[in-house]
Amino acid sequence: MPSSKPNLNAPSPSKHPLNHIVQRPTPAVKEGPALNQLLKILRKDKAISAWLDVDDRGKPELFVVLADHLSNAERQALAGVTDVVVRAADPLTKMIAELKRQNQRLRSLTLTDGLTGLYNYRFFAKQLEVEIARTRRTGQPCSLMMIDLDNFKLLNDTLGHNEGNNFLVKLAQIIGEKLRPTDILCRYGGDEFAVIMPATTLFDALRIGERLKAFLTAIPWKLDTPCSASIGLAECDPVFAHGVSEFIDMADKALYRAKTEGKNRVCFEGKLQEMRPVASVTQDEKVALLKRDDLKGDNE
Amino acid sequence: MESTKPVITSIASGKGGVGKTFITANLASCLAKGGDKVLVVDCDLGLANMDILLGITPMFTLQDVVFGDRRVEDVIVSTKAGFDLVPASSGVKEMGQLLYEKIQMIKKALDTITSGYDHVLLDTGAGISEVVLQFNLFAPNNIIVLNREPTSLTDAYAVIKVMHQRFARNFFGVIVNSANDEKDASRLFTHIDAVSRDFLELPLHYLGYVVRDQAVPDSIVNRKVLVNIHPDSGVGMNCASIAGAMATWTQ
Repeated sequence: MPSSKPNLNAPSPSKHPLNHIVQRPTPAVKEGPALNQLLKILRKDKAISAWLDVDDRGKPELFVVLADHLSNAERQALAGVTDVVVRAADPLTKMIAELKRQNQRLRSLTLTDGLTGLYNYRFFAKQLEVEIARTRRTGQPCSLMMIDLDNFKLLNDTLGHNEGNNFLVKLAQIIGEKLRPTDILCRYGGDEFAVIMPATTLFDALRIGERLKAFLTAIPWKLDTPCSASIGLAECDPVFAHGVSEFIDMADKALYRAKTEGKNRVCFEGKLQEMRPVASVTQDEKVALLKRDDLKGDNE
Repeated sequence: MESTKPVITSIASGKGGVGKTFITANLASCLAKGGDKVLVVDCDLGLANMDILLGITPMFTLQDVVFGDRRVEDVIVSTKAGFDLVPASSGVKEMGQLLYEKIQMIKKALDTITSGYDHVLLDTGAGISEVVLQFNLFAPNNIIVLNREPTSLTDAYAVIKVMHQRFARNFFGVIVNSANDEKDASRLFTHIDAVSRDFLELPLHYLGYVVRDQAVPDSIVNRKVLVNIHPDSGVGMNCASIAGAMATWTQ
């Protein structure tokens, strides 16, 4: 991506003053090997405009090409190294919209996983940090779930990676549907998923984990051994709030135990506190409950 | 007798000592008198006392199912009060703090025995511990017992709030115990109902009241179920009226 953009609000690219300056590709363009091969095409079109950007190392990048008299094949070749290839007649607004859409796509690509569409590790680590900070500030619980498919390697080896990938996509969708709207499902890597569960005690997470485990074993897949997953759980301690890696390590440790204890099970790290006040009565509610003018005079 | 799915109802209160166990026993007797087959499960695993109220000494309890190898059907006792009981025993320390696996185990065990009954009443413990919440969650119908003490009101509200916010429960039947009279009771209900509507946007359902009467503590001291010895007393008729409403519930 170029580090800056041309002024796309200009009335029309062909009449823009810049047009005269970069009417022909500047000599610097020649240095770029990819562009070098395209010079022939660029020179062919008399109405051509190339808007260039030069990065820190002096390497030129081509990001808008105005080309009126090119064949489709030539336009495609240019499009390979250019953000936008337009004709003078193309409406600028359309081009801007397209650019915006592409930008958005690029941004989303960096936070989501290309295969499954789930959040990727980068987003996961960032969000986990936010949730840990929230736990530290509010005392609200937060649990973390790691899900690892039990026989995914076998599936890959038996049916090929293509089939394996298809299954991962399907699985991501199914798990997503089984979680609550507030749970944040991420692809941790390979066949491992991570779920950040804000405002969730380990106890509740365990309930959800067990439910998910039972559900996963019912998913049909193309191997003789049934589909199953090992699940590891941990809860962030609001008092000794963990760091990101520490929290992940805990859940990972639980997952490892689930694996070594025979797979297809849910294990957890830390203390299961079942005597935790969940949603205590607020001061306002207390005042409202105890304001009993209507009951005065009832005392014997 | 026709075999239908049982109506499972939990009775909770938040605060202890508001008459949960008394009301459970009396409602169960009323339902039984109406011809229904009724099972009461003493879910107050920390301080169980349904057996004491009924004047029985059970040989085995729910604890023997969870920590021993008794089957739950072997623990059921039929009582003179007209209903069957799964008793629990008091004072077993680890029982009040059951872990998740044990609760699941109890739930599974209950699933196997409830099918023969028309009504199953769960007498849950005080507080809002996980065990109490889970038993309330097991029952599709939740009854909250409260009285006019401020602490009873706030604790009852806490149970409703947690069950509503954490488990999306929307139906709570409220019974006002130890009321001076009908007006006193309905004012108290209107009050907690208004707070629940204001803060939780959740209307509550009034099931009725039980009037304050010396006959209540007397029946407890005598270890008899009041509706069976004084069915025509005020308390007896109050309980019959609530049971009448519950008898129309279907699963």
